[in-house]
Amino acid sequence: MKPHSLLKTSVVRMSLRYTLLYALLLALLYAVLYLSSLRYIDAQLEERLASEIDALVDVYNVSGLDELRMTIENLKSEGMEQGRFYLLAEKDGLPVAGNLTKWPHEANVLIDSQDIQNIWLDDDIMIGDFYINDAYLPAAARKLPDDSRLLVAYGIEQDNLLRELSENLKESFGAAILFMLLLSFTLGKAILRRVETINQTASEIMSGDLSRRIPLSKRHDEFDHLAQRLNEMLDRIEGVLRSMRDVTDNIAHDLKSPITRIRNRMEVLLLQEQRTEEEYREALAQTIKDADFIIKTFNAVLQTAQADAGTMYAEFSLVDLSRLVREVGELFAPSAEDAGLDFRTEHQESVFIKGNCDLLGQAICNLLDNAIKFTPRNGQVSLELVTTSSGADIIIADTGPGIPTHEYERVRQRFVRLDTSGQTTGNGLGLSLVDAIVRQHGASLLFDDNNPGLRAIIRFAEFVSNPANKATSPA
Amino acid sequence: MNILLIEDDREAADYLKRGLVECGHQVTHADNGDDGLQMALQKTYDVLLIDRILPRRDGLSIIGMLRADGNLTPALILSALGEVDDRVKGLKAGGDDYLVKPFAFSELLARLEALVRRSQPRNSLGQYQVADLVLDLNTHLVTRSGKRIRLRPREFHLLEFFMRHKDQVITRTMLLEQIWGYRFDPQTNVIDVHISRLRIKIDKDFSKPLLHTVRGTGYKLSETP
Repeated sequence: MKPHSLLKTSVVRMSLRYTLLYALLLALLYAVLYLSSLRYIDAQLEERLASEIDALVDVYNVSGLDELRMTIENLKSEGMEQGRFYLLAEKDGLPVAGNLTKWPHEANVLIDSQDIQNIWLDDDIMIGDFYINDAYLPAAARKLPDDSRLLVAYGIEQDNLLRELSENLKESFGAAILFMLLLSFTLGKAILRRVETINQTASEIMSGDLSRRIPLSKRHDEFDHLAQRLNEMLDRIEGVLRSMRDVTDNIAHDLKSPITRIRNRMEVLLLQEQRTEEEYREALAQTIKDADFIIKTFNAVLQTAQADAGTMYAEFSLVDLSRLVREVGELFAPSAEDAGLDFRTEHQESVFIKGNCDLLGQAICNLLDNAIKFTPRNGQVSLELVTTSSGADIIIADTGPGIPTHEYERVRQRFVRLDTSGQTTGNGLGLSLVDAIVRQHGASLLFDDNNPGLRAIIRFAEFVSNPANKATSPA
Repeated sequence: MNILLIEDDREAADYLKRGLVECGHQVTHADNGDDGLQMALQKTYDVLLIDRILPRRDGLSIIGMLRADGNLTPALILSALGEVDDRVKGLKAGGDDYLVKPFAFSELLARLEALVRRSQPRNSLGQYQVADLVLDLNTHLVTRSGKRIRLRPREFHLLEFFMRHKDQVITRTMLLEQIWGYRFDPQTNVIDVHISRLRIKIDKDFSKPLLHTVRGTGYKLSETP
């Protein structure tokens, strides 16, 4: 699998989206700030403009025109650098001093109104290159007593405060966006790294190494929880696969002999031209027997697999365990007696659980059948239903050879037969089916030493004694 | 028996047909659901043998349509699916019995006969009688040649079932279903042990045996083996 590009991670995409949104909001905020500052600075500017022109008029009143001309000449050079314009003109508008080459026509209105207003200054009348294009600047104009005129105009751009403000806004805006981007990429990278470990493990598993697991960090965060869940799932899948493989092997082994028998028998039968009808019948009857064995094995495997996978969606209803135990006990009593065993069934009344009567019957049957089969004559076999603090137990106990403690787990597996001498019949599926059924019921199958013999216990953690509605007792 | 077999698997249908014909029955075959339903509606059969999954029309749907039409011909459903719920669905849809593939032919035959043949009537005294064996449902007394036979409750049920189905072959799974109410294969001879006990009680002291073993299939209560 190709490694994920950072840009394609959901976190980075999401952060980019939020960065954009953030940038828009920030821009809006800055615009409001800028505009309100502008208004404030405007007011200040007008005040300064008014006081400067008044001061200049005072210079004329106190020291005369020449002194004013000198003052303006002095102010001119500084003004050119900072975008301030001064013009002293004669009565007819002819420039005397200042950094404007022509008296703007609009300025006459200002003289009449004594007000500060924005006027247009053409590009070509402005000396210096502070403004490259025409400028629309606040200005004030006065008529001096000798009918010469004075104009002062300066743009807001020359205001230091505003310059600083817009400079700061620009910088902080850039910094904020950069920070957001950086944050989102680091975040994305961190998450990507965690996902990548999962991805890599998945790839390794897909390429055949089923034993691989996702490494966990010590953070115990949601990624670790996810990884742990995935690992558990992988454990389960691996287990199922392994048991499937075992089952396949075992089925192959178990079915090989009857199939080989059928084939050989038929072959031998055909070797001679003539055989008696008796011989044919005998061979066919034997073949049916072998076929029955094959079918039985298949059915048992299928049933176990279904119960195991939980796909045997048996209808669950209230099962009267007391009645079930009594009936199964009664079903087996003659067989146990014939086998020379002391058999007894004991049960508490009114024990109900939610389950499937047929499946549970099958489970008890298999355990009881084993007990009877393996217990030697004059031994004891018992079937009991007791309730304890830990739940309801169905106990099948015998005085047979028992199962060694270390084999308790293995016997639940399919096709496992402890008796290797081949003396006992059976396909080794009985206990695995019991185990599967018991698990499907959310109960547990326990083994214990009966000293001597085996105690097999089906333990239901939950049971109902005397349910209010007995409508669904087993058939 | 006049049997309508609806089965799409040609080989399975052929051998079922052959087996049933050789046992003396008439078999009509349809290889899809639509034809099967038409045939079942047009003619009267003793029993329907219907595969669960068919082309064009599902087996359960055929039975559902027939039952809705008031047609109560007994139907046995064959299925490759062995899940417990499937059987329940089949019986709910109006099927009378359900058999999971692969099955023994003798099992199928026994179940078909059980579906078709009526139960033996009781005599005017409320008794079942086979030869000199009499079972009285009112008094719960069983006698043979006038001699009282003591049976346990389960043995009484077993015998009653056999007498009701006199001369019919009853398989072990049928007994387990009918007498014990279980639907599973105990994979062991528990039923045979019960039968042999019953047999000792009703046949041992008498010259003519009535409860016969049908080899490879089951049992039969009959005056003639």
